[in-house]
Amino acid sequence: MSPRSRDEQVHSRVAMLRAERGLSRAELAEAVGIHYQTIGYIERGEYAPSLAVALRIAALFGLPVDAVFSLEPFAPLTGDQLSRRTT
Amino acid sequence: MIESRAQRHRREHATAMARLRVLTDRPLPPRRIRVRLAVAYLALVGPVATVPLVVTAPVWGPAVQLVALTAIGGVWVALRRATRLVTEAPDEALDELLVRLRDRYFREAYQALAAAVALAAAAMITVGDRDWFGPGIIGALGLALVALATGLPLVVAAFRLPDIDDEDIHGDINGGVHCDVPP
Repeated sequence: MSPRSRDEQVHSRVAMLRAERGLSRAELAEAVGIHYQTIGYIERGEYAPSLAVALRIAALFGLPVDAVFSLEPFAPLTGDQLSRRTT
Repeated sequence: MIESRAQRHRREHATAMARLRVLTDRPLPPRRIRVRLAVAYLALVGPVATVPLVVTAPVWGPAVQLVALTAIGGVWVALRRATRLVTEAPDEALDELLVRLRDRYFREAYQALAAAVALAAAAMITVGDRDWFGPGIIGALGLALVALATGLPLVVAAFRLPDIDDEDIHGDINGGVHCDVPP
């Protein structure tokens, strides 16, 4: 399922956060009560989850929802960290 | 503690939904198998609709139709299993992505059915007063339309449901994030 337009694409850090915590897609899916295939779609930016699912995923990672999902592409973390160190 | 009727109903409903959810969560058969079943279903609708035109003998026509209808029933059951009841399960037994996909499949199936009905109506209007367009063919067209109406959502789902990657279920703990630089 591809997003209807480029503007509607939702970018996420789910793949990275899941990797950090050593969770498989099936484990994450079970924890937030969705199908494991949906996690793959969300990670690839092919599906924008509902607000309820986005909030559950963010809560599971203990982060605000806008730290996990964004309408703009996330800057690479290394770039973020470097810019914070230099400022 | 005595369970009230409402409580029992809620518990039974929750159990039924949980069972259905387990079924709809199971991996789908490969797409090529689903597509073969969908093609077989569509191929069987043709004989049901056209047998009275081709086979005019009094016994053989209905007999062929009956065989085709029985085969359609068998393929319909197989299609339901192959699509994991996605087109039938209630929303609460499905994941939100599957609900959205299911709704899309129903819309596409409805469009295809509307086209089939329009074609059948055009055929009836065009050749309606000819001798061979009698009750036999009208009944056959009716059966074919019923078969299409009940089977098209399954056919569309069989074609369109995406294959599940093994990675989605078991592995990929790295989340698709791979580091080229050795640690």
